[in-house]
Amino acid sequence: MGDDLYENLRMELRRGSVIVAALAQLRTEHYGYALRKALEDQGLQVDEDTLYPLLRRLEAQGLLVSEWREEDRRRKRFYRISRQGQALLDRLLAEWRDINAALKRIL
Amino acid sequence: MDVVDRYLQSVRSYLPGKAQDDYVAELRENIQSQVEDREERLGRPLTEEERVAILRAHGHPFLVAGAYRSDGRRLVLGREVIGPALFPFYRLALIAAGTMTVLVVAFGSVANMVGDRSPFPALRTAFFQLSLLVTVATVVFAALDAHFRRTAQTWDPRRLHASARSSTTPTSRRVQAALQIVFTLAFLWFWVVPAPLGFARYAAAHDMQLGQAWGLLHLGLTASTVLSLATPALVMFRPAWHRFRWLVSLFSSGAFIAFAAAALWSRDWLLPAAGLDALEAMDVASACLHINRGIGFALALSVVIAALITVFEVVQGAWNEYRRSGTAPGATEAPSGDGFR
Repeated sequence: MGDDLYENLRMELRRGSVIVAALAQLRTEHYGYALRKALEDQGLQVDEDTLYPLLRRLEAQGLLVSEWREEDRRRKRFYRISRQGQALLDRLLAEWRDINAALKRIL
Repeated sequence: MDVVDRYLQSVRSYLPGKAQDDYVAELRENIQSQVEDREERLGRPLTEEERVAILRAHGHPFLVAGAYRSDGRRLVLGREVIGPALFPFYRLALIAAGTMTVLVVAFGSVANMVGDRSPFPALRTAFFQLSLLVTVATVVFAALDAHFRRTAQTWDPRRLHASARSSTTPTSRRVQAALQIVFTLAFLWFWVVPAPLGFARYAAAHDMQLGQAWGLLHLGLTASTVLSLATPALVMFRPAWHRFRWLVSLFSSGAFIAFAAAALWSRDWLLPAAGLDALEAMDVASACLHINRGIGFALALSVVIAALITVFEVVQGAWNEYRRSGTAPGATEAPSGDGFR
């Protein structure tokens, strides 16, 4: 029960963070696996079954734009943040910094 | 076809038609990039075991397709009870429950108003029906979700061969079966609780009462519906017993046909209400005669169609059984061919 509770709370905590991280990382264009690796290289591991559908959802919400393009003789779908996504990211980051500052004071 | 192709084909089978190519092409590219990246780091080709590990990390095809299809919504009651993959189906069940409730309200209100009664009891009935349906749908889908979570730890991409080419896989059949249970229970409740009251009130409003034939048909359809629940229950909990499904169908249709035939024999669907004077009783009896003939004709047609369908299913089931008995044991259909036990 304790482990279940921890896992649920951890998932809740990560869910929003992954969205912010993906939007921020996509200020530079990436395709799915490259984005996952870039996040991992910076210490944020995101499961494949979470990240790839998330990209589609963010695109459907107008926060990302994507296009199929050839790279290394293979067609890949590249994503980058949209103008609307950038505006939302700025607001989310401001909120994130406020929460972080408050937590630092509390802890 | 290697294990990655089979995996992608299985994901495709769970996706809606228009999105299949696009999602699968992207997923293929991501998996291929991951394989190449790993091979570059190791300096050798990946073994099948290592490829399987990559696919397992992506998740079971049903859940992957569900995640693409969903809008990320889930049901959380303290903890996640229904995940994003099943949530769209759960929502569909709730919409159906809502529609069913609207029908009950409409039906009950009309019946009450015809009987010069307040329509409010129909609203009360609707509230109870909606509560019951939502509870049943939540319990059924939560159980299915828990089952998927358990099996997600043990599924094996190498066992995806049997159903990869089919658009109906064992997992999608289980989801369909869950929906079928919810809808059948909803109908059963409607048929057993508000429907008899509504029919009785309608008859009373026209100086009539329900006869023995009605009781027989009601019992037959109730028994048939209860028995029909065994089919989706087998699909969900005992897929290996698929060869008995035609027997369930036989009993279910048989119950309906037997009671309907008895009702046809009895003929008295509607009778003049007690306490009418002689003149009124004659008028009402004449109206009852016309209505009873109409109902009798419609039911006779239903019985003939049900009997034909039953005969077809029995012959088909028996023929399939005969063919199976003539083949090697390994040639029978693997009920959980997607490896998702």
